[in-house]
Amino acid sequence: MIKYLLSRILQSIFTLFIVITIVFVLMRFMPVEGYLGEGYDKLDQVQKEIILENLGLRDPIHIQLSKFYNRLIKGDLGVSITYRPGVPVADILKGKIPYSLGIGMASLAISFVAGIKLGTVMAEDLGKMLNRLGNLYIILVNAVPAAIYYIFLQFYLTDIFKLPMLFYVDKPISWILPILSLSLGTTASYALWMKRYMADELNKDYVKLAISKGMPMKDVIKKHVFLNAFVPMVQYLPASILFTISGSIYIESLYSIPGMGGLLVEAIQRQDTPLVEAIVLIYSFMGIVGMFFGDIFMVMLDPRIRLGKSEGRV
Amino acid sequence: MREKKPLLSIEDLVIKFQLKDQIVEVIKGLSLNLYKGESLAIVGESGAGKSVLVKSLIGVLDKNGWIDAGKILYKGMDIAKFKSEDEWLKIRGKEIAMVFQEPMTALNPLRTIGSQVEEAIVLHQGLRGREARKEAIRILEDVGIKDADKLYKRYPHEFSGGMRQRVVIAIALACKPQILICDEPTTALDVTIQAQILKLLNRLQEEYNLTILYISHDLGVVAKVAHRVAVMYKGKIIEVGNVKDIFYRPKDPYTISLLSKLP
Amino acid sequence: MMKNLKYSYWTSTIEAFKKNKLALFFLYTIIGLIAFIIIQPYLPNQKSPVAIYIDKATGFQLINRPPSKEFWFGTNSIGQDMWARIWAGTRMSLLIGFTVALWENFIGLMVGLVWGYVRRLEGIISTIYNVLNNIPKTIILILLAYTLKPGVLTIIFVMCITGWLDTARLVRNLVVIIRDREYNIASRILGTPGYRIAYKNILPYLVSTLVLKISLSIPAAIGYEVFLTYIGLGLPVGIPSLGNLINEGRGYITVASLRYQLMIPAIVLSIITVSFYTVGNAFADASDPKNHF
Repeated sequence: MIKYLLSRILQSIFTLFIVITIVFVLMRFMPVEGYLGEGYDKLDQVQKEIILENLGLRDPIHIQLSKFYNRLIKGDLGVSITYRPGVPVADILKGKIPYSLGIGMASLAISFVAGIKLGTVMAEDLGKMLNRLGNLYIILVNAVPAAIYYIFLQFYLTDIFKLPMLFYVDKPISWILPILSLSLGTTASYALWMKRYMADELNKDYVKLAISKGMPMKDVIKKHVFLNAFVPMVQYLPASILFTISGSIYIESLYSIPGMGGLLVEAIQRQDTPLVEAIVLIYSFMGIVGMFFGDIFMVMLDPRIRLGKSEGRV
Repeated sequence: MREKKPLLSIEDLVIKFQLKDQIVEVIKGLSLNLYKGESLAIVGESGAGKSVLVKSLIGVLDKNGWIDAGKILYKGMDIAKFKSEDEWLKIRGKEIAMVFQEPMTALNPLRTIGSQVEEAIVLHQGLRGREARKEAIRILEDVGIKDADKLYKRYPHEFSGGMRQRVVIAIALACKPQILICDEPTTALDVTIQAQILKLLNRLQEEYNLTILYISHDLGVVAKVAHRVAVMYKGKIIEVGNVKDIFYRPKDPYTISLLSKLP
Repeated sequence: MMKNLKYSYWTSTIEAFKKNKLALFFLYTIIGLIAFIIIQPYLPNQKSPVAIYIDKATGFQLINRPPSKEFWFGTNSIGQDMWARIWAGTRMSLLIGFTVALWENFIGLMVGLVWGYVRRLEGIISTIYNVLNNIPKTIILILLAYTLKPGVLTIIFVMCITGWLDTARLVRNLVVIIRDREYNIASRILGTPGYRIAYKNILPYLVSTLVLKISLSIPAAIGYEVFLTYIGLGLPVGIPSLGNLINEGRGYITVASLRYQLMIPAIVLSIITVSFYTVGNAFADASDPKNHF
């Protein structure tokens, strides 16, 4: 067990290294002009070189990488060069993350509850109409690109329900639309998973045994099927929670939310290398940590994995 | 031991299944009586319809099957006509309980064996909490699981096939049923364990005066547990009689061919 | 008792699929749509998707005209015919979608085969897979799209880079199963042609999984195209695509008379994605032997 954990941690760190290196290399292919600001054609070659060297962009890659790791160990995420020149990256992120995190967590919570409930109801096959509507919802949300339905939701719902078009921190009523819109897609995913897993479980022998014990179906579902279907879903939770930080680029631009959403794209377009690197580092780290904790959850919940095959059989 | 009136009486039962575009008649007018306190074995080859028959007795037929005609009379009710869950809840467990064939998948892997037995007790014996647990431990010991109070909180995968089957039997017993159906309970186990389980079933039957309906394709096994034997072939019962009669004085050619396959 | 009904995997799959009326409807929709967009430029009276139309009377560009007899879908903000643009855009988006779907699954198939069969490379490929799997896909998409010149090939390339992972893993798992059976001692002793049995069971499963993945890759690719266009990394403005059209029409949602510029491409795109998604899922259900009764 411990061996497994250790190897997973090592593997994750290795992956992280590779990801950072790849991003570093890719960023070096950016056109040089992007770093020089607007009047770049007025600068002569020498001036350009001085600027680039000061930014550390002329060092060979391995030197750049080691500088980066050195900074990182000291907890320094670097300083923005073009997006907000001179501002420490950590400050930029600190200002934006709370928005994305707040909206993301709220919508995740809603999706989780609503999705599982919907999936359970659909698996129990309580009525053709209900299942049809549920399926229709899932199809529409999954097939139609989010960019499209977000726009229409904002447009029509602000009209019908008289909700504000833009997000304001101090007006909770303006939080409703962004959070709900964001939750639609994930709700559909959870519903679909739950339905599938429950449908699978319902065919299994232990369910038939529970039924033949004389247990009413709804108790069978509550006490046996639900838990077994739920467990495989848990492993994706930590990663989902962590990724709420990244924010939806669509939602945040539609509702003018000053979050992390468009930051990565803008950072790349502005060629703000330190900012890009920091963001990539954080996202990759979250992905890896998320999967790691997801695995741990699985182990904790499923006694078959936890107790392993080597423990003695009775 | 044998009363004149049967406890369970099946009359001209017809069960059909829908496969793709065809309707197949699996049980073709089957009649059989089960008397209180006896151990009746139903033997036949795979595919004869034995499992289908017993599943219809507790209403767990696969979705594409149904009872087309006939009666199943039990304590004044015709089970064959049951449609709703409420009706079946009157029978399942407390009147008729079943031991399944595959012990490896019959238990919920995410719950302790103790809790699964306790569930049956809470359902049918009206006990709760500590008392239910005590009773569960008692039954588990009764089926031959020693140190049941220590093993109570263990999970199914920590047990071997034979032990799991004992747990399944314990669950069935906890329902305090009138009739216990055993659907090939030892087929998935190896021979030495098989003998143990059979011995256990025999003992339980004597102890609790159970009525057992035993399904098997293995005549050797049947000889050890049954008082009476019914031979099933292609959806019908073709011969019924005492164990001794069937083995030594078989009448039907099919029965004879079955016997001849014994080592 | 139950006679061995003649069972052909594909016949049963097709039969099960045919029973799903909704999926059939969408399948016909897709076929009809594809046929239409191929023929469309050759129909009489079709206009060029890039030509700018000028009002003969005033000499001004025919800007933002709502749908009329002359321009069935109206014109856009610089006087181009929306009807022609929509179908040109559909052609482009479908082309991208199909190309990406076919390529990434082809790559996935190849990698998966090598991964599963060639023992020496198994470690390396597994490591590569794990690393790539952990990188958030969006980051690669954005970085690459930004560094390379915008264009059709760039978009296709960028989407293929990350799309092959899933298929590769699936194929590899199946190959491993076949490979292990080959060395299965019991099968050797009994003389059963393990190969043949494995092929018969696994090949259909492999093919149906690939078909499923391809049909779901298409709406996903179209969605990504919209995303990339949204952040400015999509096709150059000159080439009409559904992503571009939606982007152009986005600003007009508030103006009722101009809303058609967003609605029409949005509806066309949604019909395409919903159709492929439904057909893909219906196929997955139909090819599942459990549903063959």
